[in-house]
Amino acid sequence: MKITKLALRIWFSVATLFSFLVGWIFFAHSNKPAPLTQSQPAQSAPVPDLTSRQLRRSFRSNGSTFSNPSFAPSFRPRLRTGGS
Amino acid sequence: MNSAIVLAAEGDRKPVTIGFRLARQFIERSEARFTRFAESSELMQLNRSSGTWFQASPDLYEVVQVARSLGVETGGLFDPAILPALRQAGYDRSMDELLQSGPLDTHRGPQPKMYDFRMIQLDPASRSIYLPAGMQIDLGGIAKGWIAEKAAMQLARFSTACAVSAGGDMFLIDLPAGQSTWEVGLEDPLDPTRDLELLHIGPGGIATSSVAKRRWVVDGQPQHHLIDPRTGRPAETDWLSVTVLAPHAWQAEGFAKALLIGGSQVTGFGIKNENLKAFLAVDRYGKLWGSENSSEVFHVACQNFFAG
Repeated sequence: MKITKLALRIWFSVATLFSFLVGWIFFAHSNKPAPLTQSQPAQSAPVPDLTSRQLRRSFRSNGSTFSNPSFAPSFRPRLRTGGS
Repeated sequence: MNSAIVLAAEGDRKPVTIGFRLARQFIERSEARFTRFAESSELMQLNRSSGTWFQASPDLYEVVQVARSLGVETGGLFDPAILPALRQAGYDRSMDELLQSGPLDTHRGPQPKMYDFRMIQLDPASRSIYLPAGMQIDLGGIAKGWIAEKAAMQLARFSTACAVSAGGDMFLIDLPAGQSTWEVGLEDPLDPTRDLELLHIGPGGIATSSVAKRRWVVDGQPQHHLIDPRTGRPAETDWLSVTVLAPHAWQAEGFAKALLIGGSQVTGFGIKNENLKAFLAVDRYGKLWGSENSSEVFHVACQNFFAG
């Protein structure tokens, strides 16, 4: 019984050490993230302000030109002239 | 009108929604009044009454009145009395039906007699119109400009800035918040899928006439809907399209049509007329021409100018 307990302790110790070393080697050799430089500024979508959201809600039209006014920063309808 | 209608307005949601509904109802009513493709329309009742006095609705009377003033201002180049010639050229049904019917190859009879629209008489007291016997009129283009302007004025009561476009004839009221101009794409007549320029203009009327639109074929010959009142046939012009800026949308439409029919040789009346603020013309090669002030009025890089 004592021999079994000792064998199990040794087994857990070796397995833990082995797993730690494998993990260490794996992360040590993985690709590192590119450093942030001035030529690569952080990119993020601008957060719409309250004014533009309000304008978007008040924008209504029955023409297909304005069927999808989402993300309009301001009221700037797309009008065209070309004869008919 | 066989045209795309665009309504655009800025303001609070509730009143703007009401404004859109009223403007749309007005446009539908007006379309029924001014169409020449429904025998029951008021315009066709007027045509059937030629040779006698016809008591008109305030709307029809006003459109005929402004049409006559444009006829005078353009020396007769703008002339709604070309309806018989337009039918003779093949445009005797709606454009949808005409395009579905394919090329026309029938002999269409002798050239109809041409009338000078300026010969009509108006009686403001009784709001009556007298068309000389035989005269038939088509108010298609000018009615479109007039309807766009009136609809925009209705919409303006419910918004802080608005625009109404009827097939590219449009009227702009005030300016969108934070903007110094409206942006209007100038369609390329050689490739309608793209814009030739982006115009930056102030409030008022703008309209374009084009021989590249509403075309059909008769006896193998391409036809278009702009009849030259001097010949009674589709205009032979060196312009493909003309765009005009004017205080009123119906003025812009009438001047654009007259300039297009007249071509590059007949621009004098346009340059001298104080109601014609500026114009742009596209020639057969897609080159842009303009009145001397066109660059500053439309904010485009126009390199070919007409001087007075």
